Amino acid sequence: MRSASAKRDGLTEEMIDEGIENFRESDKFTESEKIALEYSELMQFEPEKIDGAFYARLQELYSDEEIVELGAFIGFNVGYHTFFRTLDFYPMFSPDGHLVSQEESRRIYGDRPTSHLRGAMARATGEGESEIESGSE
Amino acid sequence: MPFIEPLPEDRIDQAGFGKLLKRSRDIQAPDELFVRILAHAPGYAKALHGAMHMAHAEGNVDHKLKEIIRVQLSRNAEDTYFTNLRSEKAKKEGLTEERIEAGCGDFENDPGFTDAEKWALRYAWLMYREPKKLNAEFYGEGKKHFSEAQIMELGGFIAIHYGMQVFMRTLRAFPMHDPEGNPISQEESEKTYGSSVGGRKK
Amino acid sequence: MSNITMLDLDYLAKTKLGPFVKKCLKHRAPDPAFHAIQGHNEDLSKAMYIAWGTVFSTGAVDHKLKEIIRVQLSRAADCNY
Repeated sequence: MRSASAKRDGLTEEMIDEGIENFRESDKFTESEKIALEYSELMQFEPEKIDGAFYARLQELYSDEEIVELGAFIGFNVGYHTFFRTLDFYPMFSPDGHLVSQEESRRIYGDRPTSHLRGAMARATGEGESEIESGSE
Repeated sequence: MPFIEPLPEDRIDQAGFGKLLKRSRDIQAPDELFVRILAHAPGYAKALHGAMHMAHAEGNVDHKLKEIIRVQLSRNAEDTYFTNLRSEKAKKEGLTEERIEAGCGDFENDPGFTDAEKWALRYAWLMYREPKKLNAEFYGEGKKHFSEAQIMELGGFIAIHYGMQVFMRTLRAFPMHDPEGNPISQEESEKTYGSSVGGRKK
Repeated sequence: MSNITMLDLDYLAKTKLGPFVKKCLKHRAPDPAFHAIQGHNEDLSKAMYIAWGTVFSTGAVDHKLKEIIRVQLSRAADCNY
């Protein structure tokens, strides 16, 4: 699933991958964007590291309104993605914007969530060679 | 104090906030601290608390069972705030602290829980510990005890509450009242409840 | 096949979730599968959709940053949706 409005605002799959896989070293993100991505990563994997010092760093770059917005957004996603994963269902839209069956969606997106650049788009459009990723990135 | 302080009531000017405060004060899980922290982001308290409250206090799955699950989840999230809150609605319906402890402990071997209740408690227990075990077979077992609507009610309830517990955990907040219902400061609350998330101090 | 039955979008269009399904079809986030799987409880699905829409699409933080975070967390959870 991808936000149509984020795409319209210029977000590319490359930027998504960069933000997930390489944000710390990347020159494509500002300091405030990097700490937001770190906040998310820590809340998912190491929430004990989100302490007073971390919040102080956040407060240098974000208002309390923005921090609460980010924290609640991240928390909601942490809770929901795990729940949804257990239901084993797929988007109804293909990466190129067509409504597809669950079987077709599974075929396009693969068994594990990865970048759409790694095969999903090609499998959706039937163009070019695609490597079927099954659990590996 | 929590790392993000709750807004004073007189500084919150958001549509419907009065109703949120009343609902929080009535059920006390969460208490008003939560909505006053969320109030920093306009609209967030109403939207999130609305969904949380509906999932927790309404629907077709027993509220007392959901309350036990809520506390169980909060211990897994290691959140000092939600773990020490207790639903006034569940108390009025007869839920005791002993029953909560039983549901957070060895519920699988406890004859006090029905097979359906055990499945629901197991669902919550596994969701953020071993989610891979929540497979087709697991859901198939659940469908012997609950309708799909009830399972989705439970799942949505678990998801949104756990997510907010994870967030609140990072803020190091505590309830605004002691176990007897008296208002206390955050410092007093931390002394009263302690920093660990095991059984509630008596 | 999903572990909970996904409801038909044509059926949902006739329920109180109809306007929300329409929004999903237009904006694609959330994808309409959100209601197809949660629509067993119409009121709760609506409340969760409103909560989701509020935290994702409103506020001062850049929406593109939130989208990166959303995908990051979905991969961390192995969520195919």
